[in-house]
Amino acid sequence: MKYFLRFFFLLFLTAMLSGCFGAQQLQTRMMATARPDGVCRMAVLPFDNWTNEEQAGVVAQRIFYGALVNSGAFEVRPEGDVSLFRLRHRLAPGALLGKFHFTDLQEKLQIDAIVQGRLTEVGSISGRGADEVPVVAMQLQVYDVRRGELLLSTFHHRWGDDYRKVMHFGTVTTLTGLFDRMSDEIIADWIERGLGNCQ
Amino acid sequence: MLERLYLVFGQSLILLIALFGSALSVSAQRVALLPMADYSRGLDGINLPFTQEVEKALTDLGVEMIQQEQVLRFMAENRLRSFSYLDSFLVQKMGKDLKCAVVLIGTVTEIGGRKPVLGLTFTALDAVSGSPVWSETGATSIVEQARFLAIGEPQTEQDLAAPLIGKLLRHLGGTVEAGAIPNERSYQLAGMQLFPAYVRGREKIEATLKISFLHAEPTMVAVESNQRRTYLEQDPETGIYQGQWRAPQRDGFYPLDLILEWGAGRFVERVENISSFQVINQPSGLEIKVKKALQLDNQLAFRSHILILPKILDIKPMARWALDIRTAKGVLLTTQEYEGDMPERMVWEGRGGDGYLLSDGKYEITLHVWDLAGNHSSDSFMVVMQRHAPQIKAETLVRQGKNLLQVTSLPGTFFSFKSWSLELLSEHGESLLRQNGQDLPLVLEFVPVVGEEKLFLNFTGEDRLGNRLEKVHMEITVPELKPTEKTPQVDSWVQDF
Repeated sequence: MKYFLRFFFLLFLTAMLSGCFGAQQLQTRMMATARPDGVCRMAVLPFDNWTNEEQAGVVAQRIFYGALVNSGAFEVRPEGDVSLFRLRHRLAPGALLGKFHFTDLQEKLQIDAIVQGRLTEVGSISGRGADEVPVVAMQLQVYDVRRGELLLSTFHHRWGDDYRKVMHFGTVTTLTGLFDRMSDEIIADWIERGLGNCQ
Repeated sequence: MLERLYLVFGQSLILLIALFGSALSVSAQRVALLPMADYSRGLDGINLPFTQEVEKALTDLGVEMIQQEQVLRFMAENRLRSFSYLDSFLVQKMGKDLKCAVVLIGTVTEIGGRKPVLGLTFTALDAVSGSPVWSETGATSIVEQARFLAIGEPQTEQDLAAPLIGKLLRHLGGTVEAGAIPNERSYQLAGMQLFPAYVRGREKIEATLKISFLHAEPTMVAVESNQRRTYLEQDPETGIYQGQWRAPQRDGFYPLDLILEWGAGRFVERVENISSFQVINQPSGLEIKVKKALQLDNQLAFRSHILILPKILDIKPMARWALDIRTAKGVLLTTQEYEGDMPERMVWEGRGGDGYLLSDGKYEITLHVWDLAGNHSSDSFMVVMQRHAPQIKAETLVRQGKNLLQVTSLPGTFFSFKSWSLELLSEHGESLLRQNGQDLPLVLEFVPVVGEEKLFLNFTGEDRLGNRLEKVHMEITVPELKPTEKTPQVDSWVQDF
């Protein structure tokens, strides 16, 4: 009986803990030559939208921008400054940035890094034990404009029910909510890696 | 006495600072709310009912709001269509013009749907620095608001709005801090244009500068290049600064700095590399290579088309290029001019400007190219176009009692046959002569059929450009034999008596 109870306890513990070792949904790759220290002033470029959801790119960009401001770890340049910069250089969302752009970004906007994003999946799915839940996959890249190099690249993929706690509680049912949660997770990860050091 | 004077002065100064500070703090608590963007209505969509709801929620929170009419007027005056283009300068200007401390922008990120949802995001920008200082995003849906036995459960997005707005803006009040707008020399550089940006030495350059200043305009605005300064004058009607100067003589790239002076050189601000111009004195040079043409008798010749490969010898930014076609006598047949760079290759099929084929002949093709500074280069070549093989003339001759066939080329072509073959047939199809050869004219002997008056010639030839001529059953009339005058037979030399 004692062994029987011990067996079930271990089984229960394994089942509980196995959820903690699931697939890593946020993956950040730092460049070998990256120097994240001193990255404080940032700007966010409009996200490139590879999905069929119209306006998802601007929505995600605005929410990420808000999350970056809200984190308090960065000095974020206003969206309008970035828009005028893009207008001057005729940069479409997702356009490749060259050395000239980095130099100008540093001179005109006085920033350390710039964020470029790309939405690869936006939608809703059902059949995961809940009503329809939103799903988002996005890739963000941070360029160090001081050195004109890629600093890091982050890929993040989440479903709304990833945040479920008990029954339906905790499930994120809106795209806005999911974008916001994912943005917070990405920014927290960046801060952990040394970005946002505004000393 | 002096100490007393210092004391009075100090007290007055403190009083002045206090008065000034209090005046600022009154204006600093105010918030300007821009119309809420609504992406469910498109990229430029706005949602005015939501804007009013947010305004009401903020007023309920005790925040002093700038009237929407004033905000809309500011947007119209500053040509601000959406807050995507609200840069730090305009935020500061808004703070100054509308006397507010915070500019609040909001977006409806999602709304409606089968099971209604509502997503909102707000960002507050500090009117002193022009930078974002606070942001909050929130979303909810009917599904998330499920309540016990569905009592008081929200049904529409309007039911979701009020609590969500209240929750998001709850913390904004603490962010609105008093702040003095510093008297810094802030400006928004809308555009700097140079015309022309590419010039030849000593040519005139005109500059147009569009710039807005948050506070006092500078006493002097100048541009400086190559250690030479030019002051710009402001048009009182448009507010645009203009000026002109002559370019330096030497070739080169000249960056331009903008100099702003407040108070006759007391405060000078230099904006480096604001624009640039380039001096180009030497033409780029042009060389033409022609492909698909044959070199015959020291002439370029073609029958179908030629490939023209222009080569710019010294690459420079090009303004336009032109193509001329002239006859050998110099008569201009067509000229065509295009803007931009010259194509790397061109194909000429022998057509004129109207698109019709030109007649066979000798033509002069000239290409012209002008760089952006106006320097001209050109190159030309002569080419012979022969799209048809030479025509022939065939006739029969009788010489010294022999019947001869003579075939000659008609004049009007540049290049003759390089090979031919012919067959002469009698009226009834009997082959009288069969021959191959290279050059014309030719004279060949044949034996006619007695009593026949017609001959037929089959001729196939190819000229030196590859044009073929094929004549089948070409009729040749046998010249009538002139009746010989019969002289009376004289039997004897002495006339009969």
